[in-house]
Amino acid sequence: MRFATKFIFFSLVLFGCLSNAYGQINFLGKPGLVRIPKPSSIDKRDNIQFQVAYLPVEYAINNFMNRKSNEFFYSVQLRPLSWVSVNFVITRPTDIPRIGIGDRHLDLQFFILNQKKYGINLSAILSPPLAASFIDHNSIVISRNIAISNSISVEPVLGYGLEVHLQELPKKANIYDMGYQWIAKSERGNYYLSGFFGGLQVNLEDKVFLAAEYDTQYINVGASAIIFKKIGLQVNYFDLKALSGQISYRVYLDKSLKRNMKAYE
Amino acid sequence: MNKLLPGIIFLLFYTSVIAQDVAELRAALYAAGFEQVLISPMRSTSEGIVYMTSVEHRGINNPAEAVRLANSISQELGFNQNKFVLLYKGQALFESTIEHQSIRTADFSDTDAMDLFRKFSVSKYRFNVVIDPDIQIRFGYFENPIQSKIGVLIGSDIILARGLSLFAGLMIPIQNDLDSESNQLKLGPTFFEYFTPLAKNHYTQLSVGLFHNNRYGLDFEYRFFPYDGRLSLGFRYAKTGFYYFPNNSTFFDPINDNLILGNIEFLLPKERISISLDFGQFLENDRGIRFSVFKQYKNIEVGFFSTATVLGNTSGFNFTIPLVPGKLIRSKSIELRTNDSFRWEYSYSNEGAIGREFNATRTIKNNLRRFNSNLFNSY
Repeated sequence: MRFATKFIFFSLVLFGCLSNAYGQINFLGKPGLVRIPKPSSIDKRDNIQFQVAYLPVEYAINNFMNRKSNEFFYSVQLRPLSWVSVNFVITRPTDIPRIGIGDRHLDLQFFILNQKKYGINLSAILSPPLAASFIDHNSIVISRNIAISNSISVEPVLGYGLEVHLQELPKKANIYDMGYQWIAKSERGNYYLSGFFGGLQVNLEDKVFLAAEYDTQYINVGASAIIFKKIGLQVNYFDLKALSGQISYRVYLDKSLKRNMKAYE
Repeated sequence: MNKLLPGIIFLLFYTSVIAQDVAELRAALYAAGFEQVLISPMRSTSEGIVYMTSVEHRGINNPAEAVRLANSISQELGFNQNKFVLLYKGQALFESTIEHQSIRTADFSDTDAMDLFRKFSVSKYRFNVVIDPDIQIRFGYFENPIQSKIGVLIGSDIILARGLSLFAGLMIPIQNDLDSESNQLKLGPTFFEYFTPLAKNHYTQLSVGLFHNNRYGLDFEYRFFPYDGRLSLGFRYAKTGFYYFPNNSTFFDPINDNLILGNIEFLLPKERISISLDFGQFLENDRGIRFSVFKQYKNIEVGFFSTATVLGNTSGFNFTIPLVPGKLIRSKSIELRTNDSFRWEYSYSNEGAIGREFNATRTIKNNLRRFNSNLFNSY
């Protein structure tokens, strides 16, 4: 009984902290479900977002020296224009020596169509060949948000990721300079978003999100909520076998420094 | 006579009231951190006297916010029709007025310029001390993935004359596993810098001394910058050498490194994005181009760049942020604060100096960008 009271009290407090500042994001910091991205977001304000996500070794992506390990994904995301966002990710496997700083990755997500105008959300993700990263993905994603009631909506998401990625062949390894080439991702053991993927997101008042998805390898589910307008918490259940989580933090860039405006008070 | 006397008394009283108000406004603006506050009456209208007020705020990195702050202080003290002339190192740039929450900008007249020139005084600046962390990190070396050199730079920009300043710095090293520079207290960047407009929209800056990024020598910059335009052009020439301070000694390379760069920059005001192209010879005789995109937020600037030079290609980002807590001590004559514009840059490649410049926080290319009046109403 006492536990129940505590639980109800805790839920109420937590519910009071919930906010609808931004939507669910995937483990790379993009608007998305668990591992797959989606082409729409409910963001309204200029912000920079930081996230740490954890992937257990069975579902790890980085295949550095053909070894896998539990991984942390540190990501920073900025959307300088309404139609493009820049994502920077560092992958750090926990117990592989000589990894350096980790696998650095940069990609751009272009928000091409939105539902308000075109009836469908469409975006494309491009990974420029800056480095050979294990999370390189060049994908196209579509979705449509369907309102079920005033407070509940669902969003089916469907996408396709290229099974090849653009890479610059190391000049030293080749007698002939071969330059940039499209190479099968699987050659390096990169299977992230290769082929068709899809999922379904349930949105409760823009505050709590539930997601189920097929990410070209596994079926994952996840639940997330935003508290205090700037902290995002998400619990993921990979392959319906392994629990994991991620935490994000946002800094809003559209307000003035308080000290500048109150400097003379 | 008996009619004139009350008239004279009234007039004297009236002018002294005005003088009192002006003194009060001046004091309030100084207290808020403004410097070189020069207030002169322009003309009288039915709603009162229009004043021209020059303002410079070295602690706020967004001139639009400085104008808004100055305006709100003026409004509170009953000055409803104030025009603000924005100064940069004591040199007047342009005039701005706030009407219905939006900032309108205009050129100031020659007589106004003369007036500002006459009233300028070095004593109207505070002795300004700025705390600025100096963080250099090299990522990716396998045995030690994060090699860093961290120090605190205590610097002061001492204004010696209109446009002329001496930046003097003291570097307090905290830790260093990046290079062989000593961990002793040492001289930080110390240089003379002279900024002056040559004509309307044409600006130059000349600096001599020990600069940031371990470069010493001479640095000249010219920039065509119409404050209400979208296109700006620049040129930079620097003849420098490398210097550093190993244990108990100094090391100075000869000054024989020529940096010759042209720059074209275009602003998209609605998006608050500047697209910038640098081309020519960078440090260490590296020739090539650098393409950058800068996005302006209220107090933050974020940039992305790609460089292609003879030495190689790289990409990266940089950001300029105000540091907390800001002002620490401020009195009539001194101010101690953290840097309003801390800049940090990350480049993907850490091999060699690909397309590198130096003293980036002091270039007029980077510092005038925020003074574009097209940005003022789009934050």
